[in-house]
Amino acid sequence: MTNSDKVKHRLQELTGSISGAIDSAGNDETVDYEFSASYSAPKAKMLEGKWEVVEHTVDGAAYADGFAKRTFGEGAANDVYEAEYDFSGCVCVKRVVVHGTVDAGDGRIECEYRMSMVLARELNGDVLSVRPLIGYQYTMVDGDTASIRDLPEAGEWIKIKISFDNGFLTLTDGTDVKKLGRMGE
Amino acid sequence: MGKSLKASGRKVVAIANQKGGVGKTASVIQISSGLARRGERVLAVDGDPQGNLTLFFGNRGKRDFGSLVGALLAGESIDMSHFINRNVRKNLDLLPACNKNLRMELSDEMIIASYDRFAETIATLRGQYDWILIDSSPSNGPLERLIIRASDAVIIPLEFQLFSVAGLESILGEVSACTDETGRDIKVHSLIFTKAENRLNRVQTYREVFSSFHIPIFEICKSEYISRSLEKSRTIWECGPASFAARDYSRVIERGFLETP
Repeated sequence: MTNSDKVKHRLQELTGSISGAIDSAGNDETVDYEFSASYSAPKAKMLEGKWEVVEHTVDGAAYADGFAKRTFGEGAANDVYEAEYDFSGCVCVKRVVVHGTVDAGDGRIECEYRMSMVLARELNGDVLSVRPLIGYQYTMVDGDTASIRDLPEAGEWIKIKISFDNGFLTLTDGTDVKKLGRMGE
Repeated sequence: MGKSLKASGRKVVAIANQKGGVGKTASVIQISSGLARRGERVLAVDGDPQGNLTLFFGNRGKRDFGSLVGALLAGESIDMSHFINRNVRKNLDLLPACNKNLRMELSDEMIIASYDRFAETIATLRGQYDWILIDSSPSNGPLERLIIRASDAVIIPLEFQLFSVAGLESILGEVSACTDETGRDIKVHSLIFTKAENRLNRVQTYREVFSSFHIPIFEICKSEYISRSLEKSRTIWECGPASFAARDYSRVIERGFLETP
């Protein structure tokens, strides 16, 4: 057992009853641990700038293929998936393009999905909280606009775990995992 | 983040820990002045005979906390204007403590006898202030119970140290006992870890363990601006408004005190 493990073990023994006392006083909801700004600041600086998704899986499967099928039908196939995140100021601008083809019976036709969204963001330790502020979605089938939809402001914050590794940024939201690299590198 | 103090209607807040040097007075100074700067009307009460809060803000000849307890015991009619220094900062008043011999002059039995009247006196001030913050002394006795019994909520500052954490169970027990004795729901609202240093492995370990606790926990970084603030009797907002420490206390104020759903 390392020294760090010993400290942790001793602390857990000591705080076990404290945690119980807090819970029995009626505190039973999960709440945030608010890290010092001095802890979040270096990561906040590393986050700034433009990133592009280099890998995106949901439950271990490639996101774009599944998305194309859900949006355009079972016969859809994806050939382009581009997603970029621009972190600046206190917002993040997210842009997604999914381009593919779908079987129209007498041949394959082109289809496209675009989404742009501005999200408010806050970083607390390793947790990035984002909240949609404004955006739009657009789908095109065979050259014609199929739908355009405004994306309204949402009240709920979405919490995403972030980590940096070897110049890559990983965003983990449950089983949705995106690996991003710096744009232009 | 859990329900803020404003959202839960709790405006009399004791800052308490039986361990000394954990940042109780520093936290009362920065939080009370930070609330006042946001336009909230605040009364800071120096309930610690050491009188450090009073040393910081100054006393302009008013009667002090110990004198108030003595007057309550004597059954005197209380005019709070004789005890309160108005506008030690804009929107911030101070009920000072000047008597380091308080514990020798007032026995435990005398303090216990003043519990209810003190709580009633504090309650009469609720209409005049948006917040009443009470600084308590680092010990475990009737004086600390006097303060907790008069409060709606308790915030506990502590350090990333085993001895500091070890005292938590004791103060949680005190608050629970005061709740039972008064029949009032006095809540331990949050913990504030002070003097956080990211470079220490120990701090990371404490963060891992405490992040699963079901209570709001804030961190205030170790900062030369806080030391400077206390040395010069200038709040963190006056001497280091852009510092990490100021941002940390801002988070306590905005999330812990003021946030409304």
